[in-house]
Amino acid sequence: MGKTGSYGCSKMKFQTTIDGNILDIDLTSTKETLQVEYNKTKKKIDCVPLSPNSFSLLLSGNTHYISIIPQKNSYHVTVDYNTYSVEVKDTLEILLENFGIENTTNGHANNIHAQIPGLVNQIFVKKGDNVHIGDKLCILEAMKMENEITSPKEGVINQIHIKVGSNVQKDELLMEIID
Amino acid sequence: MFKKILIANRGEIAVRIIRTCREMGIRTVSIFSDADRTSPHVLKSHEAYCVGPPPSNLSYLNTKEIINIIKKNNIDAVHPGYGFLSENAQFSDTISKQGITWIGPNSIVIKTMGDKMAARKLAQNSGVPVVPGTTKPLESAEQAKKTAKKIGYPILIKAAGGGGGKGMRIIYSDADLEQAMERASSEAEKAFADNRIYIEKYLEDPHHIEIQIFADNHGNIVSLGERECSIQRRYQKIIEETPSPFIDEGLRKILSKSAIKIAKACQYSGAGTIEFLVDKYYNYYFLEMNTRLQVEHPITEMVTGIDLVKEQILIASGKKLTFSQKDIQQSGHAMECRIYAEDGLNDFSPSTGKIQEMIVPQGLGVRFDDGVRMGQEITPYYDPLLGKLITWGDDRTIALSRMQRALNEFHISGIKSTISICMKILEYKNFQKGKYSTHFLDSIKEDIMKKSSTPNKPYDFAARIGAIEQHRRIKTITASFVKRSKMNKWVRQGRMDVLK
Repeated sequence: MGKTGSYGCSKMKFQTTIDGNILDIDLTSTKETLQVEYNKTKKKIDCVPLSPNSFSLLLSGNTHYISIIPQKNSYHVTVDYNTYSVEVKDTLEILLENFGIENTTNGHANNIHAQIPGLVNQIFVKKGDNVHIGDKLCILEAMKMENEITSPKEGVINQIHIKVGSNVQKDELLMEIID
Repeated sequence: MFKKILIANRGEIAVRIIRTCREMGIRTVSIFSDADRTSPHVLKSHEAYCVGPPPSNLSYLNTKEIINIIKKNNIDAVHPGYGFLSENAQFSDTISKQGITWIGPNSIVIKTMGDKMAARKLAQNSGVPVVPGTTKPLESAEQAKKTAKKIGYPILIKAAGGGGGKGMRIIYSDADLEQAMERASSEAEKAFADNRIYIEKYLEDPHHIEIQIFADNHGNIVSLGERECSIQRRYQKIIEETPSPFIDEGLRKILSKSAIKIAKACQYSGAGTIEFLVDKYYNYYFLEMNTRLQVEHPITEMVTGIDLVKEQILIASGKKLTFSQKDIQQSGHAMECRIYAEDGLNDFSPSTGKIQEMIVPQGLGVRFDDGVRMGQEITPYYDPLLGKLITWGDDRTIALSRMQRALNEFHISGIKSTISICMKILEYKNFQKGKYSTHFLDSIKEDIMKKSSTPNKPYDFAARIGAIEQHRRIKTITASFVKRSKMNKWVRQGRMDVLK
């Protein structure tokens, strides 16, 4: 991270999102240094890798222990003992979009995703069933607690992607409901 | 003394027991599910045997397979830890009938005290007050409604077969009763193989205070003092301390005496915990007895200097208690924060994944009872406890500042944990003053959420780091195109992989 390569001085803009808060960040890199600009204050970054996922950060003399774990559409950034999900938009993303590579997104209104990882322990509906808001769809069991997943809308169950006993990840598509 | 002990558990408590066994020169045998082949309890024991696939009912609760392993491997005694089979009277009975020692009370005691309703009756008969509620398992929603009407909402639905918040629900009105009963009953069935549930009155601003007792088979019963366990989420403890900042010396003695009365009444043997609720007027009620080692036992160890697991093993082998009541002098103050794989700042939702980095705090007065290692995959199959951070100090102020220091040193990445919420709880003035009941965490939850979702210092850092990481990746990719002609194809593939 400390090494910036040998491409002379470059300036890049990034837009980061944490818990819905958007922060704009400018990075200026030269052969030797990396400077970060945020909230109109410029700071020189001293970032030295400790392992493939962790770094020691020196920012204006203050030290921080940082880990970065890439996720599907974001990074898990641990700053000392706090962990955040950080989404970053940049020129790379635009580049990818130009190449026609799709960036998958969650949260389609008709799709029911798992809010937590867990085991499917019961399914109350089948394909073609009519459901109303609040109807029980299935039960996800995680770490021995049972969590009821209910319908957020009125409609017909169009597709069920899980079985009793399926192990689902957070944000995994469970069911599709059509109007 | 036993030569070989099988630990019928996993995670931090299995590791904890292995440590004492090794100090005593006892050979340790672990059991594991397919998901736990490389978990610390397997790595740290002398021997380890697979008991089945990941789901606990097929592995850690698979008594048939566990008994097979016990028979095959010359096991002298079984330590059940907490949870899983620790309060399963039938299992304990089967073990004993094979001529193998069960490290804990006999199956009759487990059955009586494990049946929360029978335990209530026993406490009442011993002259110890109990929380108002039902004395028989609930049979129908109508019956539950009747009881609720009599004692008044809010009420608690609890599992007769065990504790730990499993199968427990708080109900405010008739409307929620039926569905909550269904869920609680099903949860209880899964956790304890017992779907019976009962009702208890929900007390206002209660403190959860428990007494650790020890009894041997020679008629000696000693109280090791109390633990204050009022910082809870979903009726599961998260921070504990001893001594309690709430009760005075008088009540402390009364609780200890009541606990000993109950232990005597059920002819207890081994380590046991009697849980009480103490309301804001210092009225106390017997809640339940746990006939096993508790998760939070280390804080008692820190202030008494007694190795509770060692004492359990000695008593099970027929020895007398190594101390009497007058030997028990609490020294200093101890505190425990439970580190769970849960996103504390997102309503404690479970967090699974691989532990990519883990730096555990060390130094004077700090202990970490660990159950996971770096690189370990945290699955949704088991209890999410990663480990317990315990600090000791001459007084509460020192123990508290030491805990803050230790939490600050703690770094886990790859999954979210309760480290940051523990840190936030400790920052509250009322916690620092020792003024908190079991409702404390609920009352500050919103405030914590608000504070943690507005940009703050570490937040800003995280944003910058995200940007820097993205920047680094772009550089790497650019570099791979620039240097393409000289580059090994494998390296180039690796660089390109970051695009995925």
